[in-house]
Amino acid sequence: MTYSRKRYWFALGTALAAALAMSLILHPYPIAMGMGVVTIGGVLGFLAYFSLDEIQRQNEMRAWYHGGLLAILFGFAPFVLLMSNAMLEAMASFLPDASGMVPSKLHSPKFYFGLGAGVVLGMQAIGHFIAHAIFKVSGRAR
Amino acid sequence: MKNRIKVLRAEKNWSQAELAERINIARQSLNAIENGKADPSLPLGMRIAKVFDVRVEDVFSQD
Repeated sequence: MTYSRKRYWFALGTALAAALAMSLILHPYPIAMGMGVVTIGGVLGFLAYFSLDEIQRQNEMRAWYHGGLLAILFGFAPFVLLMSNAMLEAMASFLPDASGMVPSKLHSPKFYFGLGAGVVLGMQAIGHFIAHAIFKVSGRAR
Repeated sequence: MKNRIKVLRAEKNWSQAELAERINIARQSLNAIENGKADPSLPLGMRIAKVFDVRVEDVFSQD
């Protein structure tokens, strides 16, 4: 697919608008909402990616890779590992007394799985913007 | 990798935007290639050479 600035912004804008609309309309049905957002976001995200030229694609890949590393270093490690360890007592209320391992409260396991995947992807997305900013400040932006 | 895009562009009196449009890439990407911050793929390098009507090795050379 050839480079097209218009198609890139159209795909990106439509993906964001569709994700926002689905979040507003389908929020009573979190699984349908999650699947819809991932499907439409994925398809339009690919369309946006393949509407970039090769240098822009290289830049995006570099930023998402380093964004992922930043997310693991500053997001995943402190928040998921350390914080969950520090909050063991608070989390105990989610576990039945006897087995101690099966979540028994509030939402289905799918919800927590989706939340986990969403948090990781969200951290990487934020990390990718930070990586872009670091490249720009350090003069390594292309 | 060094390149002579700036010189060749000046000879044709083309702006970066004009050349970028001819080879169908973003102006910022052309700027990155021209300043040696990014290396183009072989197909793009050949496309650049073609619009200038020269050989690839007349545009790009090793450092």
